[in-house]
This record gives sequence, structure tokens and C-alpha cells, in this order.
Amino acid sequence: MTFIKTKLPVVVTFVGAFIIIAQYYFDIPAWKTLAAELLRWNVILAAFALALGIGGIVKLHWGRIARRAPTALYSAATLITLAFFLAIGLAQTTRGESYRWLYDYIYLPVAATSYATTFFFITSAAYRAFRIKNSYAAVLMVSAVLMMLQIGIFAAFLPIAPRIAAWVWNIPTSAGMRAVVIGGALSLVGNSFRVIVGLERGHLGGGE
Amino acid sequence: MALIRKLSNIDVRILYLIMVVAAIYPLLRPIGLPLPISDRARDAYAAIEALQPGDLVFFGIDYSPTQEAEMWPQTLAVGHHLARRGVRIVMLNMIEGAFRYEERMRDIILAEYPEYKYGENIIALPFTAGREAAFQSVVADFKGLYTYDLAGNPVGSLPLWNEIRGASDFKMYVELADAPDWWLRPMSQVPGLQLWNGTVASGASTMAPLYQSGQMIGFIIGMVGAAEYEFLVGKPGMAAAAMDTQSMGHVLIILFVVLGNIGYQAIKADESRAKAKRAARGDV
Repeated sequence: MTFIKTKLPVVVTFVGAFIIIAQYYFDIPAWKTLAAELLRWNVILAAFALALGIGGIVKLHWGRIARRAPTALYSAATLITLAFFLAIGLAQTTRGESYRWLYDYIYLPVAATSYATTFFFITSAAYRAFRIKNSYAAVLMVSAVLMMLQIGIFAAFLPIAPRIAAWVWNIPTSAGMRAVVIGGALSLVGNSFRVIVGLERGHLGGGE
Repeated sequence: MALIRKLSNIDVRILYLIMVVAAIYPLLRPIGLPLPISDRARDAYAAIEALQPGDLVFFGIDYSPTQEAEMWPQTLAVGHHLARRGVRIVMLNMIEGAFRYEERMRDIILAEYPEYKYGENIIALPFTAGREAAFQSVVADFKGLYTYDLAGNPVGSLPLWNEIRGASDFKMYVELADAPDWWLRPMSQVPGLQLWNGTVASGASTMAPLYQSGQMIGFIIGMVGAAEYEFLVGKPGMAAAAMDTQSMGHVLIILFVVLGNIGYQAIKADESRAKAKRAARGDV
């Protein structure tokens, strides 16, 4: 049992990763076919992971309802909506008229509107939180203002503004992000190696 | 000083009201502010303009409904441009909430461009889970990944599907995504495939190094990019109309930042002076 719980998942991870990675170093058609098949299995697993996500949501919100938490009403609304969409989707698939109506006239507007509330957060933050407390904050603020000056009313009265904004984007911003992307990629390689060889077991429910 | 303190302590609901009025007014009575077209947008336009009729193009629509305001205008403008070039389009979708945008764009192209016949020069494929793994599957074995199209038709019944051997047959991948580079890593492995991206404003800085390195041949950003592209394509639409609103919003945000900081610095200076006076008097 210990082997199945602790050692087998590590072996499966190592073998699967080795097959996928090795296809880039060995030009063997059968190996590439096997790797492509594994990637297709990955797509199927990802689809099941969505279903697992549904289970997680149900567990979380049902717990809140059972505990009569202060947000139990919102949890109930979430679960009822989930059940309703699921029932319609299973009955009609995503091509059904009712499902499309719900999607187009309830889900899409609600999702877009919920993101639009950031409009108010930004307003409040601009006034209350964006304080220039030191030189770094000043540089950040000036850069942000320069980026905002590149369109519309500013470009009409200040033709050089778009060029300055383009310089800020092309040079310092890109330089910083290049470092972040490279650092992130190196970190990803290191962490992936740890997962492949079994040093990292967080995905198995344990630590190192 | 009393006035500065008042200005730096305005009820935030008043600010919300000012912003709402500033956002709505230009939509009702357009101001018509100029929109300079950036070199980046022109280069992106030129990249698609260089496509020849019959070229195979992937058209990926991968954004969630929360990003509709920025990305749907991009989708419309780019979709019209691709259709005008007469390329063969294979639409993909790797984000759960985006299939309706794919369906709508497909229907718009079929309705407005009579030369497009579904299955012959345009196909829409269904949502595929897995994000980067799904793109990796497209690269490794594109034809093995799909058995049905978005409408539920067997892909084998579509003439265009039978003409395609794999991802390497494609000339360009046009990806409209609200997330950064998880699509680019796999697709850049296809030899000769040009990568073109439209993304949200918040994802632009992540993609900037990839565009500058030449890994992407075209790149438009957010609603400004959509508005620029609409003008280049000759179909000003939602994004162009929203530019006045965005300008007014930027003006007010800059004003609020300046007001808030004037108040903050004035109050800070006032408190420093008061502290110095107390120290001079010997108060604890």
C-alpha cells in the first residue's frame, strides 16, 4: 500500500515526463507517437479536472450552508445556479437554445460586469492608495502617467506623448519583463525537475 | 490648507459618480478625439495583409467573458481582416468560456462573406481542455486531437479537414488570448508558423519581450489596439467608440492621483512642521 501511495505516483510522473521530454532529443517515430498519445491523455485528464473542480465547489459551498455561515445564502445561490446550468447543459449540450440563451443573456453579461467593478477599485486606489512616498514610487507613478498619456485627448494636445509612452513600453518595461520571464522559466525548469525526480511531492499530498 | 485637506478627503462616492458620468457621456455624445495609430498596430496589420488567399490560418479565440470588452472588438476586427484576405480559417478554442465568441465570429464570417462556405474554407473546432497541453497536442498530432467540430459534425465530413495534414501546413497562428504565453511556447515549435497575438492591456508587458525578440510577427494590445485595428481595417466599431470614454477615464485617474498626492504631501509637510515646532518647544 505504501508503494502505491508514495512510490508509484513518483514512478508514473518520471516515466511520463521522460517520454515527453525525450521526444525532443531522439528522432524515433514510435516514440513521438507514444508522446502524442500521452498528450492526448493529458487533455482528457484536464477535462476530468474540470469535473473535479465542480466537486470542490460543491464541497466548499455545501459546508458553508451546513455550518450556516454568514455567506450561506450566496453559497446556496451558487449551488442552485450550478445545478441549473449543469442540468440544462447535460440535457441540451452547449448547442441547445436554452443553454445558449442562459449563456448569452445571463452568464456573459454578469461575467463582464463583475470585471467592470474594477473601474471603481481603480478610482478609489488612484485617489487614496497611489501615494508617492519615495523615489521608486515616483518613478512608477510617472511611468504609469506617461503610459496613460498615449491616447485620445493627450495625443491631440501633446503629439510627443505616444512616442514617450512607446519608449517606456519598448525599453524599461520590456527589459524588466524579460528578466521576469527568464527568471520564471528557470524557476519552472528547476521546479519541474524536482517534481520529475520525486523531490517535490506537494502534488501527492505531502511535502518534500 | 483647509481646502487642501478637504480636497484630499473627498467622499469616494462622489469620485465614483464623476467617473460614471465621464464614462457614459462620451458614449452618448461622442467627442471624436483623435486616435494615433501606433507602429505596432500597423506592423500587425501588415502581417495579416501579407497573407495570400488560400493560406491556412489558425484563429484561436481564448479569452473569458470577463475580457469581452477588450477582446471582442479585437476578434471582430481581426476576423474581418482574415476573411477579407480569403485565407482558409481553422478556429480553435482552449478556454472554457470562449466558445460562444468562436460561434459568433464563425457565423459573422459566413453571413458577411459569401465566398466562405463552412467546411470548405472555414472550420470551428470545439473547446479542448488542458491549456498548454492542448496546444502541445495540436503541435504533436493535430488531426488526432479532434473527432467532432464545434457544431457536432464529424471532422472527417469536412473537406478542409481532409486537406490538412498537420500543424506544419499552417502559415500563421492568430491568437486572441487574455492570458500570456502558454499558447506561444508550444506553437513556436512548429517550423515556419508565424505567430500573431492580440491580448488584454494587463498581459501586454508579459508578451512584450516575446514580440521584441521576433517570436511574434504581430501584436495588438487591449481596447486601444482593437480601436487602431478597427480603423486600419476600415470598420470603426465598439473599441473606437469607447476610446473617448477611455481618454476621459485616464484624465480623471491622473487628476485623482495628482489631487491625492498634493493632499498627501501637504498634510505630510504640515505634520512635519508641527512636529518640529513641538520639538523646539521641548514638548514630548
